[in-house]
Amino acid sequence: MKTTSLRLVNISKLYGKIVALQDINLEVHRGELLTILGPSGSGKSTLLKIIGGFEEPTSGEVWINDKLMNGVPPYKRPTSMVFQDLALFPHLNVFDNISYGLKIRKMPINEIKKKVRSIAELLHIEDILDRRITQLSGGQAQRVALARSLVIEPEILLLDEPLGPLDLKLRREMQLELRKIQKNLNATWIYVTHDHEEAMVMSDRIAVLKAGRILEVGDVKQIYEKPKNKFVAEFFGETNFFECRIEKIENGIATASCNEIIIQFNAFRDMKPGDEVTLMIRPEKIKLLKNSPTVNVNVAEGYLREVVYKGPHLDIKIELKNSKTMFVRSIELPYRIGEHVYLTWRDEDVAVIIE
Amino acid sequence: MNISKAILAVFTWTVITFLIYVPLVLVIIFSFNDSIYFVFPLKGFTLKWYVRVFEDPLFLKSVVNSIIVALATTAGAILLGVPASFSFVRLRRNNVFAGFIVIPFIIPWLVIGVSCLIFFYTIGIPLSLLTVTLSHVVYSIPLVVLVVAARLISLNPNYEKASMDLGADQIQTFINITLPLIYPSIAISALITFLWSFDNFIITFFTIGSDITVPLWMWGSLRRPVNVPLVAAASSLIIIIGSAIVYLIEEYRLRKSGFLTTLL
Repeated sequence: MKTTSLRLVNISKLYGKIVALQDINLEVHRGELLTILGPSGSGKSTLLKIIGGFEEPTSGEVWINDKLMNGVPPYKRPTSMVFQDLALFPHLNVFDNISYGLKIRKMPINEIKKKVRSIAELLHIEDILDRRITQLSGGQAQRVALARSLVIEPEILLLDEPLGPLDLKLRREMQLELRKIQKNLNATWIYVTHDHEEAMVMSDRIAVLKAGRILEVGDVKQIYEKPKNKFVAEFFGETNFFECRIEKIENGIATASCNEIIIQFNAFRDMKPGDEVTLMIRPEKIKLLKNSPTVNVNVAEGYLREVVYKGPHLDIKIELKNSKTMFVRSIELPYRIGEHVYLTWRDEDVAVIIE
Repeated sequence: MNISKAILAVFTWTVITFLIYVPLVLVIIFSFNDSIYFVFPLKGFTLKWYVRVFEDPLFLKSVVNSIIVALATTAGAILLGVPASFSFVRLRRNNVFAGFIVIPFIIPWLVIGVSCLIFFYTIGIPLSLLTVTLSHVVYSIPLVVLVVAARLISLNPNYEKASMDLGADQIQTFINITLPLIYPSIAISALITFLWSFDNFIITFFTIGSDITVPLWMWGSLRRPVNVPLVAAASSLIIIIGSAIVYLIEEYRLRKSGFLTTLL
């Protein structure tokens, strides 16, 4: 059975009349890495501050390890935060930064040295313990900030876009390394980012936040391939939506007509013929064909209008007969611009958008 | 080096030399001159003015008094000014009255001296070194507040948050994080307050009653022509001691350079 590390119940936060967060309900299990993903201004940092105790919610409850945390100051919470700007103490060296929390806890100096050394080895910074903070590179500073928080063994580690200032290559490396450390420690981490790729690389589950509300929570694959929310679907990249009417449902397979295109997909239990639904198909799930396929469901036809070379893949725009545009992502393209092509996809690649 | 840089360099050196160093050097030269008149050619080398300065019990008393007043003023200004800067910055009292803190800078010292005198007279406090100190504190608080508040405003609030996050309560955070990070601004405002209070004449003149400080001793000496070289000797002492202190501080600052300059 999964143990719950964090439970947020109906959290709302108002700044005057401005609603920063509204009705946030969220559970995070022990050993899980949950990412709060959202555009800037969506309230994700505010939510993190409320968990860490730097802000009090206007209403709602914060439970950590089944203890109510409302009104408990940050220094009495079993959480630790890696700040966006890291906030390493500039007047202390690396060792004194990492050992700060242990010294405050009045741990014997020998034990402190042992703990700092082992966490420094985990993060490969054992050689820079006597450096000044101003002498650290961006990547080293990240590691020191992480070590400073990890060494006090918090129940929940909060990370507020800590990889933001790093260059892309270093960021990719750090993402994988952080994920590995988190899994090894079997620790509960809550990670905030606006980068959907980072969210997918790092997380067990993702909660998508927009304008102070959680739109959807789900594991990485589910939230990318089968999102229930239109904004969530779009947040992970350009995609194809279809406004459809369900014609019939047989053996759990629904058939819907969508502006001259017929789409089949796995029906939800409460769907019935006549319902209006929005369907979504990711660009990379679509195949391009020169010749008409033998079936007439899950097929569209149109003209190739635009190709953008992205390196690993191509982003292709197809103008359908009904003058709508579809996005397709492909590794190769044996067709020329202007050519007539067919598009097909599988039943199981169709997502049903509910909101 | 291009022309504009050369002109700038010449200008800077001219200003520093003629406006600052030449008058000071002249005072020191005449303090060793065997004549009561400050004219060239020099009459001969002597140490007698220095001997007479140290033989004057009033001078020694004035130095002690000045140090007492300057220390007490510094302590008072820091103890009141530092908490005031916190309340200004942390409570976000950034309204029009925040600007009024600099009023003692705008009002002429003469007016501060006179109003302090009237104030003490009205509420019946007899004039003494205490009233001098109180008046100096009034003038010094804005300086401390401005210097320390400027540092506090630029202090990243996440340092204190990170400290609390790691388990330190407000007091531990203040001692371990806030104070070490703002201490250079406190030290500098204390130093300026001390020197200003030590040198102050006008406010002291109105609020001291019958006691004496170094500037007042000088003022008294200047009124008798035969004692004017004593002022030159006393001034030279202050210049030399002051320069030595500045030199030591600069030495220290340059040695720890990277660190202090980033903090300030």
